[in-house]
Amino acid sequence: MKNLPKLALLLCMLLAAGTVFAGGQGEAEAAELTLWSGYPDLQEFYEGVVADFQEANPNIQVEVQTFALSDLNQKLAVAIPSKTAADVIELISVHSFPYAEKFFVEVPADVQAEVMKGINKEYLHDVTYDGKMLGVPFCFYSEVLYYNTDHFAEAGLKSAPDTMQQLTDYAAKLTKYDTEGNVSRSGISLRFSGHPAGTCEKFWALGLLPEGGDILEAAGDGKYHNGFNDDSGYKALKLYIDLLYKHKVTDFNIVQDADSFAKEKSAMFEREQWVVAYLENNNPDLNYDAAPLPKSKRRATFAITRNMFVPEFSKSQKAGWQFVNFFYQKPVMEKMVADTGWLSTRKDLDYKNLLKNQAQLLAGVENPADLEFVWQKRLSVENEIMGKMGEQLPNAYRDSSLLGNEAKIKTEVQKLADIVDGILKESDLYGM
Amino acid sequence: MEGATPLHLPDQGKPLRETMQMTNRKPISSVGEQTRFILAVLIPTVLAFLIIRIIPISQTLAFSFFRWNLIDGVGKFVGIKNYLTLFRDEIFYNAFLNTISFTVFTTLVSVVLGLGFAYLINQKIRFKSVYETIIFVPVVLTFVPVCLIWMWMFEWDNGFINLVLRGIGLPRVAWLSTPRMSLVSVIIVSIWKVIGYNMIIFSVGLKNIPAMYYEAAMIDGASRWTTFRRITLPLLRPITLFVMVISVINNLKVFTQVYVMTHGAQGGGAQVEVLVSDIYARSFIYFKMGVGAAESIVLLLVVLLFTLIQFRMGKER
Repeated sequence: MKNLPKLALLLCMLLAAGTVFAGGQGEAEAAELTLWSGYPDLQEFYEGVVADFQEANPNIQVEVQTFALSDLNQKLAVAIPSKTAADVIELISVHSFPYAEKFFVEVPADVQAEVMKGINKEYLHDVTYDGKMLGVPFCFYSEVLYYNTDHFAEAGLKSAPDTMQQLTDYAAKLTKYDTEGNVSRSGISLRFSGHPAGTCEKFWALGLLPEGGDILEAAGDGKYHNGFNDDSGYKALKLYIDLLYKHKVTDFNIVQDADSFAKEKSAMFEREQWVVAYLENNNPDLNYDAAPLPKSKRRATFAITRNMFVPEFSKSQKAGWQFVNFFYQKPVMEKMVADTGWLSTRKDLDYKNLLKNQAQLLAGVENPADLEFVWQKRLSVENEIMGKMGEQLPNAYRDSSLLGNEAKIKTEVQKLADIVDGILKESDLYGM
Repeated sequence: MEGATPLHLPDQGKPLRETMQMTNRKPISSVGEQTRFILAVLIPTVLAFLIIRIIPISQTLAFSFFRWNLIDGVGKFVGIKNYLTLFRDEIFYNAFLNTISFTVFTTLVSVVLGLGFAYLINQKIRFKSVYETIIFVPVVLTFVPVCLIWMWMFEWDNGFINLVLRGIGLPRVAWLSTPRMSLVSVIIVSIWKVIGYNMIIFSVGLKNIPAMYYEAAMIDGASRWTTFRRITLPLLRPITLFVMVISVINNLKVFTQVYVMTHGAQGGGAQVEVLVSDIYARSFIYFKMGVGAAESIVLLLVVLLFTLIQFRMGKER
């Protein structure tokens, strides 16, 4: 009985130590993760990856929630500032810019080391802020030119246009008209509407980039101004006006974009890699190929990455990065390419073999030596700039009086430039 | 009511007076009790109204004077800068004009047609309820799929409407290819959707007009048109005011049909932007909540102005 207090004390100490030990172990290993993605078509693929991950990490439960991209953006606009978003968030670059520096944590050193072993470093651009890597870019897309090989053969054309001049000439040859003189098949489909930022993207890739222009130009000290209120902007807008009103290779009535290409209503159009899966579903018998965008002053395309981020308010950051690291392993990325057609940022994949049934996707990875990748500037207002430009551009496209009128075209370019500079000024990001 | 059966509570089988005596319940008579009753009924309603209406509107008004980015939070006081930003923006003007055009045309046409159909349906005709149902069906249909179906019908190449036009020797119309025609198409669909609702409301009004007025007019030898103009229309004034006010408010808030039918079609661009879609874009796509709040206040003022004008015009003379 004399030793009873000592015994009780020892028991308490043992219990306390056990609790701390068990608690510590639990925190380190057991976790519940939620992943948000804006690509519902990947739900099945994600679920497969999660099953493999959970087999290797039985203490971590992962729930994948996919939403339509616009719905996800809506959700994030409220969930991230209120710190109620998922533990792992998959976002395309332009949608991540407003949040990255404020809400996303740096990739831990061990995960960074793993990622760096396989990644093509060029793709780190959109997640790197002041030398810090804030996300893992696992997938990318770029603009390429799709062309209907049957239409080309019919017009006696053997390969995709290599220069912008050829693009115009080929488009003219490929266009067909009905008895009333309306375009019944576009030589090239242009983007006049839809999501405004997308309308701007197409103008950027097909119009501005080949002429040496860009949406934004750095002015130093983290300031920017428009990068097209010059000859490049003039030539870019002139291209659209000439294609519409001089060469009449398309018009506003005929269906445009991927829908048009799938229905064989257009012979060429520029788009990203998702088109291949779209065409597979909508017209599996379509004979087509893809090629890099034609060049003028330069050959260029923009690339956008899809990235995995872990927000600073996640209670399972460690587990989140564990999942991202697993996700970026070579076998998973190989499976992604083969199953979904999305291109990985890894440089060590055998694309020829993986894409043997989808050869058109090779245009996104077998880049010509002179192809220049142009990136966005990681500004929080970049989506607004693209959106507002995309809202204004169709007004210019619809103005047939711009044909052959240099001064008027330049006035329209000035309007676009004012929109861009105005947004930059409002956000204290403008500099000359 | 001598000899009438005393009122019984359903489960106890006792006369009501007896039950009230048993529960010792007094009738609500004193001023204090009445006040308590009124407060008990009013307070939740007023509170709810305050929480879901007055406070958000006041906050929106306050935020419209601040620089507020959704990501960075509420910033400094900027006075009327958000309003100036808005008034310097061509997209806002397009959205404003589109909204007003849409509201004026949709309201006027749908009210006139709604009244016309109600008037016809209220005549002595066979299969009245069948016609009523056919006209009312669009009201209960979900708008998004309906818009998609209309988009197919409006299609340039193989759309039903253009096929009909060509069939009767008329040229095709680019319904969704130009901004102006896109707006016209949206107006057509919106009118089609709301006519049934207006018709039902007007039908109720027409049924409530006492027959003696018509009988008197008939005896006086008034024509159908005179009867309609001198009796039906004036007596329908409160109903017309109600329909107009509701239509204007709903039409000023237009979003779904414009978004579905024009943002993904060839029409696109700022010309078919409307105030609500612009508010949404500024606030939740570009995160500029301050400017979005300013635009919401502009919309609120427009709604108030239209409503006041209508109340003034609809005032009993």
